Amino acid sequence: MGKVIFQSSGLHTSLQDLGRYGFRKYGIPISGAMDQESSKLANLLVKNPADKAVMEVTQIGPELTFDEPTLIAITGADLSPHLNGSPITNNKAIPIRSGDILTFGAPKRGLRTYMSIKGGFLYETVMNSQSMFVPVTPKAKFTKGNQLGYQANYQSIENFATIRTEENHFENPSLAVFPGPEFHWLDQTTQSTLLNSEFTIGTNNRMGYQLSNTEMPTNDFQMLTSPVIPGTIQLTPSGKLMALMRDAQVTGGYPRILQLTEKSINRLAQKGSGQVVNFNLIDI
Amino acid sequence: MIGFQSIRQLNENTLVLEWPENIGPDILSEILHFEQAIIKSHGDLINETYHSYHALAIQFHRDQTTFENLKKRISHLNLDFGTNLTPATWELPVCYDGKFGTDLEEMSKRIGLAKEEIIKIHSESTYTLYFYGFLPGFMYLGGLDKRLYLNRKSTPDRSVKSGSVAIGGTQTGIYPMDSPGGWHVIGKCPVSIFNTTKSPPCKMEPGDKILFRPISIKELEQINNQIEQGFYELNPNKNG
Repeated sequence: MGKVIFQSSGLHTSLQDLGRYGFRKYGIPISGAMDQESSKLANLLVKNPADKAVMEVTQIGPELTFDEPTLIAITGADLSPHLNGSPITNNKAIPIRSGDILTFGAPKRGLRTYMSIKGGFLYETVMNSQSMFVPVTPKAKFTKGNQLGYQANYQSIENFATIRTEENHFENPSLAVFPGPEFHWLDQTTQSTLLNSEFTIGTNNRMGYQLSNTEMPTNDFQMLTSPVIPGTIQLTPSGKLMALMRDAQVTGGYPRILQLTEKSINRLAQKGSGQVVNFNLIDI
Repeated sequence: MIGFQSIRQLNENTLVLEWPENIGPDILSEILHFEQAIIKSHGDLINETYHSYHALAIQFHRDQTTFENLKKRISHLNLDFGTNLTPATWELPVCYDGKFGTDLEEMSKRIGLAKEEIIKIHSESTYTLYFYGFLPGFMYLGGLDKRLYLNRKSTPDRSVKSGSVAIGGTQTGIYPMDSPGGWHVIGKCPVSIFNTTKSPPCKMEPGDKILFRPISIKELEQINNQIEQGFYELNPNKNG
């Protein structure tokens, strides 16, 4: 068995697969990789099944050492990854030797990077998933000194081709949305503001992204607590929007005015505070 | 039968059935009945179901079916499949001592009832578990006596302790873990509602009845000891 040792933790580094299903009836969020297009690609590059847990690195990367040979791939945001001090590229399988040191530098584009490892990480599975989420798992993220096991079963892979990702994924501010169940509660002017303006990203984390535009009016809509899912955009009384992400609670009491497509959730997950987005309404 | 009023698609793989926007045992029992019937008839097409007071969410397998197809199947659903619902009754111990019921005093002033009255009313009602939400293992309970209704605190507390029994607006519940919260804390339940090492992680199911049994600090300590030593087991009352 090999292990990855965290010499430093980075801003928020956790293990995430494609989510924990079947437990929302007990109030347990789905969790899972924020940008699942990138996490699936990371697994594909090392020939893992798409649902293997990968390491999700946010904005500031950790410093990692490996004690056994293996194969990794890094996808998603470009956080200037370096292996033993030399730059390496995203979207390519990279052989690792014992003692190798992986570091990250300046964020060049995107917010979240994914690292897959051949055969997957050895970490406890709780309720059918390895996704870290407190209180389902004891920890929400890794800290300095943590060790994470992996199968040291490296076999040579012939195809080391780089896979190009869609540029749009990182640069495009447009998010495709479906109308939400309460979209029609909004008057014409508000609908028009919503669909024709830029919204600025405020506070954001794995639970949700706050999006604001000062033109949006306050409101006093009342509704019964109802099911919400990742990608549901709620309208809060102040007029700010809350786009729910992977760790969001399963029910909510604010009007669900828009719903991000699966692709748009992945796209939003690569953006951070101060960046702007706009909505492109599509038929469901 | 009331019947659902709308069936709509929420995203690529989730549909929602909505009943009239009310909180009540009739809608709850219909939702549970529907949920069971759908799982029994079309379980192979469905990944997960869960519900709130008046809405049932169904996440389907996109590679097995479509919204239109599932919608058609749901409108022809054989409801005989969902007949044997047997709600259990659970008695949860609650210590209402001022040591834990830190907002009892304030609540007593605001609603004009003596603390003993609040405790009596709260522990003599029968509650229905509608669903879990907000936090893992947080029960949305119906059945709070109107005399105990009290708006949430205008400024939420930064940390409400795990096990706190509290009242917020027209609802009562137990915080399953330390969490920020704006409800008025009136007691403590020593029994964990949410347990990650158990399958399922929560024993109480939607539709079940919940009773609160007042206990002294001494009994609370005894139960805590039993829990620590692994002797304590929460079981539903017989008769169901």
